[in-house]
Amino acid sequence: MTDSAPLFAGARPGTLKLVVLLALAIMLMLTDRQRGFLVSMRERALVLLAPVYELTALPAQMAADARFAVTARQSLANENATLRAALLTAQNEIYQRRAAALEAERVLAKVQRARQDALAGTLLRVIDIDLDPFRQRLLLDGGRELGLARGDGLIDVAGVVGQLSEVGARYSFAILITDPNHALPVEVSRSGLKAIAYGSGDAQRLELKNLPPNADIVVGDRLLTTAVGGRFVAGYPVADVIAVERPVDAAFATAIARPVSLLASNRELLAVKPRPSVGPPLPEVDQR
Amino acid sequence: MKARGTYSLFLIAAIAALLLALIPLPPWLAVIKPMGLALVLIYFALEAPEAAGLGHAFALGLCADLLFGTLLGEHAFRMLILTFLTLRFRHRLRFFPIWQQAGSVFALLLNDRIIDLWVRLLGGAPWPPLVFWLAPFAGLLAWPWVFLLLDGLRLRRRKAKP
Repeated sequence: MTDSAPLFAGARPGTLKLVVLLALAIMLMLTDRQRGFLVSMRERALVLLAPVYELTALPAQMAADARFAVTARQSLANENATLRAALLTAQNEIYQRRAAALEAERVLAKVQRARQDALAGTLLRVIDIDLDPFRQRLLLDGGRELGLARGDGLIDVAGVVGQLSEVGARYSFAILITDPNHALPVEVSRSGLKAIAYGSGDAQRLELKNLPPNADIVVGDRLLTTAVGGRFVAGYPVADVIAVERPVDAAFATAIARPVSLLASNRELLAVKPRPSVGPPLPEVDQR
Repeated sequence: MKARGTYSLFLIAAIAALLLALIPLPPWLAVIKPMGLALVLIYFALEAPEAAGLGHAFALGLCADLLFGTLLGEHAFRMLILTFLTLRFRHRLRFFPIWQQAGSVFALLLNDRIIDLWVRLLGGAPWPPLVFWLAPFAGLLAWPWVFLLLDGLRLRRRKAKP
């Protein structure tokens, strides 16, 4: 045996060292949680980590490309047909909307000058890595260099996905609307009821807590973003209500909704900036 | 020289474990993914404690926090406790047959999961789904293979550099 460590003696773990390091870790966690100023440190670390992420995303990227290459012609044709049908429906809807929008514009113009900022967005690629299956986070390949900022909204073809939580020079982390730490002001499109949709940690579930017991909300209602909070442009689809609970013995009703967007399964997302606000001033956001 | 070889193997294994953890898997596999870094730290704390100390556990934990975007210090905290416990019971664990050792690894990982849960709950996260508790089982199944692999690599390095 050429073991250099003595078999029975020594190698006693340093309790003092443990205590010191544990205290350090706890202090780090508290600072990170309370002050959040470590966010900027993380944003800087993203520059270093980015190549690592790209590297680990490579196998999945290659697998996806290979899968795409061998997809049978038939399934592509089917997909094509489905998409064409969907496009027609969408086109039809667009025409109707356009007509409705024109009418609304005419009405609005009388009340005030309609603000029609062109909606600008930045297309970002989702880097396919596993951060933590129990947290709803994404890594995106775009950052300050593209003019992105913390809090920019993210949408996909179907609806709202989340927003940017940490923005590095070229890469950013996003938080999904289903993350338990995320809350989004929404509006019921049918009744105009305002509520806040909380993430639940489950990708298929948003919760609307603390609704008034007689709130005008039913299963099947579509939830849209509102401009409240200044993070999103009003009117993006967010989720569909799948259950409403009105317990007799509770002061509030609760609704459960299922997000309409593909959330983390997207390969590309559009980052949109909130429109320069014309309404009441936004709440002070602490710059951390 | 020997210690040096073991040390570099430790660093390579730890970095590989961190990178492997990032590779995307189908969702049902991702939730049972064992914590690779924990297994590597346990192995080296058992077999080469002069290479894997508490300082390393802390530093690697911080790297994991940065990589996975978790609360800074969370992995560091968990890895510290894991390594400390392994070092503390090292003399007993080392002479266990491998299946019994795997059982102890399971207990260590379960403990790690409980600390993780505690940190998350304090941080305001909701109670995680039941699959959250599957990872220690995956660790239990993975341990013998990780052990054999790292043992093989370490002994080969020793022979190469007498």
